[in-house]
Amino acid sequence: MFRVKNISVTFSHHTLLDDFSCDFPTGQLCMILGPNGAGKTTLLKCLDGEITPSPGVVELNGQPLSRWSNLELATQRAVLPQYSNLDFPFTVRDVVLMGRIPHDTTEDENQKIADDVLAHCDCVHLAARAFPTLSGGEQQRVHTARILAQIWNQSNDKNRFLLLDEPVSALDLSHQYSLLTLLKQLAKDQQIGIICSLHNLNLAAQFADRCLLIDNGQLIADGAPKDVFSEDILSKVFSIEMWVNPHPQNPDIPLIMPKLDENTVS
Amino acid sequence: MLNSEMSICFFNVSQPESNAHFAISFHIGLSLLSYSKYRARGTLGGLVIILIVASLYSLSAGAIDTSMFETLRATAQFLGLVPMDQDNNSLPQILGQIRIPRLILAIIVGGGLAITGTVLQALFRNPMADPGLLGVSSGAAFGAAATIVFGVSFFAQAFAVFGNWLLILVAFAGSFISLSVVYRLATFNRRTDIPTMLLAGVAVNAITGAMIGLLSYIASDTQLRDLIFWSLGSLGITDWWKLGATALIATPACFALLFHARALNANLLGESEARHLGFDVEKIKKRLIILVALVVSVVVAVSGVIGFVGLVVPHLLRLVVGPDHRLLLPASALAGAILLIMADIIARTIVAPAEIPIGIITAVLGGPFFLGLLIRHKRKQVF
Repeated sequence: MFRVKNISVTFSHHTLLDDFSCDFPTGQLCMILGPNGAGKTTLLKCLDGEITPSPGVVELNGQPLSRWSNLELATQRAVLPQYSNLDFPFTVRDVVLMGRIPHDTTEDENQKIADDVLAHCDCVHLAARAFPTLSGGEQQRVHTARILAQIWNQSNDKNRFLLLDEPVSALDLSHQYSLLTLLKQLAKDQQIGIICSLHNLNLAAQFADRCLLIDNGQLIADGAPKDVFSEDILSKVFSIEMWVNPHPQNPDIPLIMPKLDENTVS
Repeated sequence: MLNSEMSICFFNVSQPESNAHFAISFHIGLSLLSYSKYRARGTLGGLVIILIVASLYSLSAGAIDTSMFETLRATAQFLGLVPMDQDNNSLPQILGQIRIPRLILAIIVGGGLAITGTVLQALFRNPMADPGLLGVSSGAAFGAAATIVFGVSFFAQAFAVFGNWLLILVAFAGSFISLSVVYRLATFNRRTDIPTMLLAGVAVNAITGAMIGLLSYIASDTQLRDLIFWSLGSLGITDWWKLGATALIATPACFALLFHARALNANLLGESEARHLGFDVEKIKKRLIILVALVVSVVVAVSGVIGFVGLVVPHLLRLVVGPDHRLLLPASALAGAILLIMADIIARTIVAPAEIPIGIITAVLGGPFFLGLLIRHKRKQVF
């Protein structure tokens, strides 16, 4: 259980998070949504320890983050940053294997895990390529494979968490869908707690177990997609008129569409 | 008489140590690299063989040319394994007092510079870093030069306490300060900017260059000769004490660096990424900066500023063994030693019986290499 208790973050007189509280259990795919500068990345950085909120505290399994050692955290929490750079010619397989650094599993086990995650992220054909020669979307998939390898199939029953900051930002449509399908499956089958920020509301509506809508560093709505996505709230938070209709295949899934400007329509 | 006794004594200490250096770095590379065991074994084994051949050749070459067999026999004589010849004892003497210490120094200096260059490139996350370019070497040279010039006057008190260690201590302070300043300037928001890093190095080099210039202006004639020696770089060993001190400090520090291979790999992904992989990044960074400053300062204190070894070696090796530091670090140490032995052979033989300072040789080879890298970087935006 990740618990965020009354955290505030201010950066040169701007309030990024304002008295924010929230619990993130395992086994749930939770999407963080909101306009640019709402505090999505700030919230994720508080959870990954990059930013220490003041006041307020972030707890993992009842212990404040500051009490955990980096190594302990690394065995049960993996983080995908929004942007990550690597100029050195490691092969894709080497990059994925770096995800196993915190673990003392054998080399054979690590190779098997690398095979698994490469397959799940559709990177098998890239395995021998040098990382810097990949396209942006391919690099993002490889980094995702790396953090999946970090918390993959552990035999012990630790609470495991994945934090992802806009994991689909560079992916094409089919890879967006396959990644989110995979994340939803991991949350359900392996009881991993997944916290993920996203801009595409429809993807969130189709895959999230739970959505957090934040704006100006405050929690606006929290719950299942069909409860959170109301025309009123969305229109207000994103400052654009929205339609919310039931998805043709499943009425429980909201389908969100911005209304067009009158001039554009005519 | 006393001199030769001392040299024999020192030799017995240093030789097993430098042998252990190869054996252990070889072993570490193997144990850490199980996934490509054969490639690692082949590369490191090949480098060890080249190093041995280069060493023998280096011992044979010089003002008095000898065959490899004679060299081996004379080395054995010097070590006391084979009885001395009745009439001609000059070769074992030359080997023991001049060529062997010089060879050991070349191995330590070359290995140390190459390994610190590799570590700096990983620490700064870019392949343009080098102890010389970043001003770490010139910081140490300034420290050493200041000790030479002010040794008797300003530092008299300290000199009385630390004795000869003062030179290394002040050189260490100089290189540590230079490296810390360059790192602070170049790394902002957990990212390192290549132009800023190189410019910070240029600035530090300019400042220390001016200071050394000032020192040479006020130095006496004897001191001046020493100062020129620092700025050009030379393996002409002046005393056994320095060689012993260098071996004692640089060798363990280089080994300590070998054990940070995985942290350096992770650091290439970024500082946050390394932290999320379980490393205590701040602590490791501080430790690495201290170790690098330590190795560079003793190397500079004994041999002056020898540039570009730390830039060229990791670059060439990455093409052969890839960027993984578990193999790259030990391979760099071996290849750096080989490169410096070869450069030293050129320095000693090209204008024999005179000798060119080795720093000039490495700069002549390394300068164009650096230009080539810049052109390549400009064309492709990759290294």
